[in-house]
Amino acid sequence: MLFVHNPYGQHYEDQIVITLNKDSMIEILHKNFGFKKVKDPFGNTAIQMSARDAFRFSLIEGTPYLAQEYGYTCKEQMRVFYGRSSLNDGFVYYTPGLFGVKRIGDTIHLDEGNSPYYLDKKFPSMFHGNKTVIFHEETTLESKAEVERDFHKKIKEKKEDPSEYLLSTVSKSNSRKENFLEFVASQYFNKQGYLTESQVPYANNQGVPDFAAYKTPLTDLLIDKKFIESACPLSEISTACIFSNKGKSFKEKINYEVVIGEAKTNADATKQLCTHKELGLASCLFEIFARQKKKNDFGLLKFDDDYVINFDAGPIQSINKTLLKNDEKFFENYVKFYLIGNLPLEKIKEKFVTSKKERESEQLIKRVMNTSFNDIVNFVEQGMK
Amino acid sequence: MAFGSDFRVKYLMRDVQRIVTKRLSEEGVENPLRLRVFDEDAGDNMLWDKGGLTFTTDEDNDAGSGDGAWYVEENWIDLISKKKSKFKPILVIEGTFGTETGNVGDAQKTKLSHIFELPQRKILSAILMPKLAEYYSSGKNQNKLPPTFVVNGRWMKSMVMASISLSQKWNCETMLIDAYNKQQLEELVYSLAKQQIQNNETNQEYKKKQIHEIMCEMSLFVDQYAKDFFEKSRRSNYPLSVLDLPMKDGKISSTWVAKIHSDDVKAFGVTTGKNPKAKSRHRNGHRLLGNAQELMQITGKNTFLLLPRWDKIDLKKLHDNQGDSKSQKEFTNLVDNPSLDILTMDDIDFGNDTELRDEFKRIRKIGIDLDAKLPGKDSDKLKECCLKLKWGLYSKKFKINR
Repeated sequence: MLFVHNPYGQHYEDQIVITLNKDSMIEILHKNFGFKKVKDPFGNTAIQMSARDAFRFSLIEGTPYLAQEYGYTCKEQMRVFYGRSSLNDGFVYYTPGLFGVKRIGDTIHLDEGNSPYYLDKKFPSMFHGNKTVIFHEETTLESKAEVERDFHKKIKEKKEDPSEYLLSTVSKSNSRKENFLEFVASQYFNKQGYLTESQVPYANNQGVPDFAAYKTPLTDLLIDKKFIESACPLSEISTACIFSNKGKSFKEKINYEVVIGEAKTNADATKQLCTHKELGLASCLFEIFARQKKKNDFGLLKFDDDYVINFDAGPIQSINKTLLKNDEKFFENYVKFYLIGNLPLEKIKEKFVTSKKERESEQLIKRVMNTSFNDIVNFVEQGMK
Repeated sequence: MAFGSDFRVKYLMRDVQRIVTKRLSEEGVENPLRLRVFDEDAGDNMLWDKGGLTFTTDEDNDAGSGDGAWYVEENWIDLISKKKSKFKPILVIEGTFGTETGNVGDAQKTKLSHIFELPQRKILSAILMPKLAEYYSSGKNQNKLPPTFVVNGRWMKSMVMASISLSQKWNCETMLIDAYNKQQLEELVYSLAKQQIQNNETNQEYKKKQIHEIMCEMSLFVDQYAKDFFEKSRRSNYPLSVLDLPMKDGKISSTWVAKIHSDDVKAFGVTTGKNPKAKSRHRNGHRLLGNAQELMQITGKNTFLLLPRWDKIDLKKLHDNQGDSKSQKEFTNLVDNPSLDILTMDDIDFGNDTELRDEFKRIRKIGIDLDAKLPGKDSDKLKECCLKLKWGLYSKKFKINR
């Protein structure tokens, strides 16, 4: 039985239920990931991060950059697939995002997308220097766009550069905090050597998981080739054209493994996790936060009374080995797209889109999938020089 | 929390606002338009006068909410609810990139209910959606080889037609804007901002020109379809619209038309609970409401949603609030609207054809007992029965008991 003094938590007989508010979120970020507590231009406590961590925060939590008057988020902007071949009869479900799209007459063409390569040109300060995340606690319902505008203006009035800031709007209740929990899970699993994502391509009608983490031998290869610094969110592979990576690989023998998490603040995720269990792809299924109460069948990522992550993986789930093998193949192909995301569209099209008769996106998908991983790595390395 | 395409729409609107603000700033003026947009449903679902993006129906029920709106800081009275607000809505957007992920058919019509109440308030509105998108899915059933199977997803022509009719009825435009053509939205917002800065003839003309171009593109898109619409409904199997509806007195209704849909009551979230996935998998109330609104708008007549797989017990369950919360909202909007109504098999006079009535009864029971999708052979049989019903009504073999 735990009875701990916690200014932001409620005490139950066998658990602590933390209220995720501005203060507790700051503590979680500071204590678990070492992000520095600083003062924002208005004298309130904020969090300072490197440009790389800020990119991850925006990508997964959704927090917008204040580089311009109206915010820009990386969340949901860099998708490649919304369905994975392993769960959809061998078919990949492609969607514009990382690679853009434009319509000319009755034809769809590839276009500059939301890859970091192009974002860096659109928002030159996004990937450079330290960033400060301002936490704004909502008192009433406010238009997020207008809140961003107000903050942008006020930061300028303080003679500060808005492009150094991101703005996280926080509601007072536990609701709408799933994205924050996904970020926490992502950082935690990155530290454990997993590649992660929160925009999980999945099966049609099977419920899209909130969060997935992948243990894969590709991680070491990507580190050795300087595409990533260490295990990271998948989209970060496309930032190799901007960030310099000097990490060292672990050189361990690794078997492909999938982990799935469901973030909940006001309900439990048992229903979703049971669906994932039936499918047999993930060897670890867990809830994130979820009122802090662990279910026997699944794991739980929660916080102790000092806001430190406490992860219990729960029982090892039985998996379908054929499905996992197929998924490993899909995953390898999936990573190839984030690798070529480091290049400008002209170079990508020059190599993979040559026919005028076939759909451009279809040519890209088929040809990238038909090119070996090593050849893709070499092509992107050459293209980035 | 998995975000859908709404997030992309909401940031596309921010992007447009940013570009317009920059353009105006380069001209030395401040953008008078503000942008109301939230990243989560809670804000969208609040009423406009409370700071949200929802308007009411004539019957004072909450209608579908928008994804964002441009507005000005000016006192405004809602022409329908009479509620006062300090902010006047100028352009409300409902958006989706769903055509990229399978929203290529009837489901698009759910968008209609999000803007349906706006033109009578003299608020401009638009559905922002790719006019043409590539939709990747499994080609297994088409005997295609992996890894890709792709089809084109386009705006539904009937929905575009309904939007044009709605605009004409209220003399206020409900538009469809291609989400891949950001510049079109940008020019529209820019013209609206210019008019707010100075409401002179030049700016009025410029705004009219932008709207005219959008409406022309919509008209061109449905040109042939619109010409054929009424004939096609009477001569072809699909759509399952009945435009000459025989009533109890044997006469064709001058005020009502009908649209047959084969959904059972699970569409509004009424399930037995046997299958936990049934509630979410069969949620189609939104689509049914969109279909009814669409036909009403195109024909200018009141519209029955004719549901031959339902009986009066099913209807009562919804009147007793047994659907899920979202579906109950759509159901209320349907039955409270004097121009729309639901008919079940109990409202159909099948004459001597008890076989067709019994077949509908049988299929209804299977759907309810299974709490799941119908088996293939019953699904095929249901399609056949719906066609028999359509042609039976056109030939006056069947009648509506009203």
